Amino acid sequence: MATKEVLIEVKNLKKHFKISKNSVLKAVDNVSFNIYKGETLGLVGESGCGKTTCGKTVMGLYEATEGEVIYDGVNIHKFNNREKKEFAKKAQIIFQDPYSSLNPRMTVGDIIGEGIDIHSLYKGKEREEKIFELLETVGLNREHVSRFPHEFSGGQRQRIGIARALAIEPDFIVCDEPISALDVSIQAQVVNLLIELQRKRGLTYLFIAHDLSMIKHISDRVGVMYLGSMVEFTTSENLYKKPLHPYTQALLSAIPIPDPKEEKVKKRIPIDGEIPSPINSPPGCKFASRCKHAMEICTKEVPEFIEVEKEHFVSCHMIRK
Amino acid sequence: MLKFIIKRVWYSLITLFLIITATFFLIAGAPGDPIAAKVGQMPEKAQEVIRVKYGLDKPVTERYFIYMKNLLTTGDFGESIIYTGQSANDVIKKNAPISAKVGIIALALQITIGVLLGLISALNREKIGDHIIRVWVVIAICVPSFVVAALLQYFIAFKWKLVPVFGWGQLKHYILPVTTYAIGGIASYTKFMRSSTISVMTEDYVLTAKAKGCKKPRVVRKHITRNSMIPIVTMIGPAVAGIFGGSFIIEKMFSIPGLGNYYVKAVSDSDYTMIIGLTIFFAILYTLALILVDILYGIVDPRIRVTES
Amino acid sequence: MNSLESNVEVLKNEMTVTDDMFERVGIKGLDDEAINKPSLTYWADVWRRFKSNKLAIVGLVLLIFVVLTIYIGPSLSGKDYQYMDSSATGTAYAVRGIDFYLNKGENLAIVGESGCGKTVTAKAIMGLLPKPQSVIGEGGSEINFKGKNLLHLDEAEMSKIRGKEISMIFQDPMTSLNPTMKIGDQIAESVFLHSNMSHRESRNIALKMLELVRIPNAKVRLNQYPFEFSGGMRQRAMIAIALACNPNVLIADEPTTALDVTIQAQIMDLIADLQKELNTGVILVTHDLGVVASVADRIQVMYAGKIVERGTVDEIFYNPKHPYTLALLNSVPKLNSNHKETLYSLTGTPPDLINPPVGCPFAARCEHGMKICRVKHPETTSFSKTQECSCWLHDKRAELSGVPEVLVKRGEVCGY
Repeated sequence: MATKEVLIEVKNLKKHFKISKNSVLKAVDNVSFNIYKGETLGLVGESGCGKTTCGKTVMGLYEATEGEVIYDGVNIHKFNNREKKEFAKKAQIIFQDPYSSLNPRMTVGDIIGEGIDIHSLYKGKEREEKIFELLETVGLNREHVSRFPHEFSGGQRQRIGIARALAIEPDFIVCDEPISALDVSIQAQVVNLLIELQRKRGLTYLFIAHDLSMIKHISDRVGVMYLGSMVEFTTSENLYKKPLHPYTQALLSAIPIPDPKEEKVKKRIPIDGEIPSPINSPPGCKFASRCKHAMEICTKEVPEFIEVEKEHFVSCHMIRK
Repeated sequence: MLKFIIKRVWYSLITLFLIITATFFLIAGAPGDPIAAKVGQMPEKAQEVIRVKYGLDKPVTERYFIYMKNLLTTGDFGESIIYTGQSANDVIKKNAPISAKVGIIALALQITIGVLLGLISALNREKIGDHIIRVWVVIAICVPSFVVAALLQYFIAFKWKLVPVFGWGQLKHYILPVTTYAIGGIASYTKFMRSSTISVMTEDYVLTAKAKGCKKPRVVRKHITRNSMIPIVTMIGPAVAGIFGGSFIIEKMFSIPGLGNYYVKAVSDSDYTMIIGLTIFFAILYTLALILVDILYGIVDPRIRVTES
Repeated sequence: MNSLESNVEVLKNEMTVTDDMFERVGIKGLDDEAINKPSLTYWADVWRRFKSNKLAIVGLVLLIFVVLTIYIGPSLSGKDYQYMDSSATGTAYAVRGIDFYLNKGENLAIVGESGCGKTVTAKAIMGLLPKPQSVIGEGGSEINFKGKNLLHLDEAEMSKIRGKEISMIFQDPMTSLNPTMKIGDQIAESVFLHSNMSHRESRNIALKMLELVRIPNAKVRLNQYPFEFSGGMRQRAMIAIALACNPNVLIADEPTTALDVTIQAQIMDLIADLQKELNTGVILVTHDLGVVASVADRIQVMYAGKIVERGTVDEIFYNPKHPYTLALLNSVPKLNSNHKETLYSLTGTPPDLINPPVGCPFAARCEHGMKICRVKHPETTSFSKTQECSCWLHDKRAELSGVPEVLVKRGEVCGY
């Protein structure tokens, strides 16, 4: 554990969207973390917490407003166009909606082969073989190559999306809620596939989801986001055994457990109201307005993101080192 | 809402300015000469006199500034080169109301009948009424208005002698042009209303209304109509502006002394003042119509009304 | 046409020219008559020539053909097609003979994956399935409510029951409220429809309902439009609409699927509380077993249009008898499970309901499948007063090697 090699280092990353003259949407606000080679890092949070924006900024799909994303020692936001294309070969994304993320007018073969063509990795017969191989890797078969996306079910489409991402042999894949649009039994299939691929190919994942139980299952370490900020960041074991931030605690207790007896004895930490608008958010801790333990300082100062114990970062005024 | 309208007016003014400038220079640069068009063979000298009279001997930029000054201080579009003694303002004043009358009646018919037919068609989807309306819509959209005009003239006026073919001033003179004008519009409003109603009918909130226990008439009245009207509003703006332009073809075929006729003639005669004057007039109408649409939108769709205020 | 047009052009042109350098060339007699005559004879002439011209008639036929092609075009477009496809048409057998009951004040969960027929079932109870496309039963079907067969009621009678006795809330709160109507009016509408109250009185009830579903600042909220509400708030408003007339049955179709976890917890708590308070029977349709664990009294699991198993919450969770139920339970990762271990997963996808399989619909994906499963639909075996299951594994002759013990064990509830 101790000698893990850092693949990506995210430093004080900010991504702000200007809504109008005097309102700014701080989708990602000062987030720092790192991703080790070969691990799965989970990003979890409710809708609008900035997890998807964070993922897309980390892989360079969005320009960062401020901060750095250092991949293998170089800042990806300083790349010129040629370097960007080179980098695209290393980082890929799997999208949430398997229905809208595949071009309906392209055959499965073309969708998967497009990346191969852009980076001219293989040609002719070799290219075809590669596409067959990818299809089989994700559990589809060769005959599917000339079909169109609408002929497939949601789960199969997500497999096509995975094959597309794998086609150019990336090291790093951002999985943006890849399973939330799928049925329970299909979710398990896709997750198993992702885990298997990681084992075989040594892939690094940034896994974005709102489903904590699935995040826990697949991730080595997990970051919890709330309104653009990282509130807690630790190993997945730690997060579930010893959540420190009040938001993490509430979030965990809100997960319905598929076990009536546990569910009956479980004490839910209620969390009132709803996530406030990320536009022009007030100073101080972003969770302060819904936090039961909020103190005066919480509405004034942004709590520091500190390492309370090894590999366990929290941003809360209640928790001191 | 007020702030929003002020903003829209401000943008419109900029747009108008750009349109005037662009038209002015484009027309000046276009081939053709109003003097030549007007008098044909005339002694060089006489032409020169006229040129000086209209200021056409001056460079384009100077003419532009003179024109803009006049326009901004007096609102004067200038005297027509072809119709001596008449300013573009006079022509508009005299003829716009005629186009407007035909247009407004036709537009009112288009919207009410179109919306109604659209609703009927959508609510009786795939039934006989729907099929009849849809076949009619396709035919009405396909057949150009001059054919409709000719057919109406031939049968209703000439063969059956129900109304006079031409003439202007009495109510009976309106019937044919208004019908011709309205038919195409009714068809397109029907088409849009039908498809918009059908998509609204599959919305979840219509199901909610049914689940509440609303009976069908109430669902249509309270939940479907208003929502399916929203896309129709977009179509009304350009249509309102079009009223004054009149349909050139229809005005021509029924010999209605409207504006459309003048506009086309002004272009073919290179009548600078008329072209620019009428262009500005139409541009103002158009921008006004767009503002009107925004206000209408606000009335129909609360999402716009509330967010903007 | 051309000669006529230019003729008129010249006439009019010179009419209006009043040039001081030229003498006016007035053309006298430019009145209606003068133009009428050539015009009409001209058109009459065209008509005559047209009638005698075969080519023109061919042209007209072609025009009609084009018109018809354009007309027929749109009816084959995506919208209509999907519409047929997604609803229970005569060809897709969405629900294939199910029977169940709901006790007063009870919470029954219908669990299953997309396309299993759970939503169709819910809508059938409400009589909300699109009429010409969907056919319910062939005479034998019954939905009995308070001694009446709902399937025999006409639209007018049905709308008296909808919203008053049986209410429904839908999956997506973002689309299920009318965007151009105030929230207060939408709630008041259902009160207004089913009582003799005036508009004002029903709006008072609407206010009370908003308070009941715990929307803060209800007085202001009453006059707002749906877009001013967040997703969770909208679902609360939907619940307020559904419960405004204090119905006997509330059907909740995936009420929390579109919401975040913390909001989901709030909404489920709200439904459970109101159910106790108002003694409403609830049919909870969902794909998520986790959601129903805390609120349901009984669960029935649907697969490919059939109920494969039903029982009390404890029976289903701790003593599932159908392999599909077990698979559903196992494919959800548990918070205390081992990290990154392979999740139990079903292979394949549910069967095509346009050509439903003859035997057990789950057979193709079942790892304990036998020959019999593919040819004959299993009988229902009951295990207790409440638990029933349709699976050949419970036949005496079944091959049980490798089948998890929990599936075949009989008698008392065995823990996990």
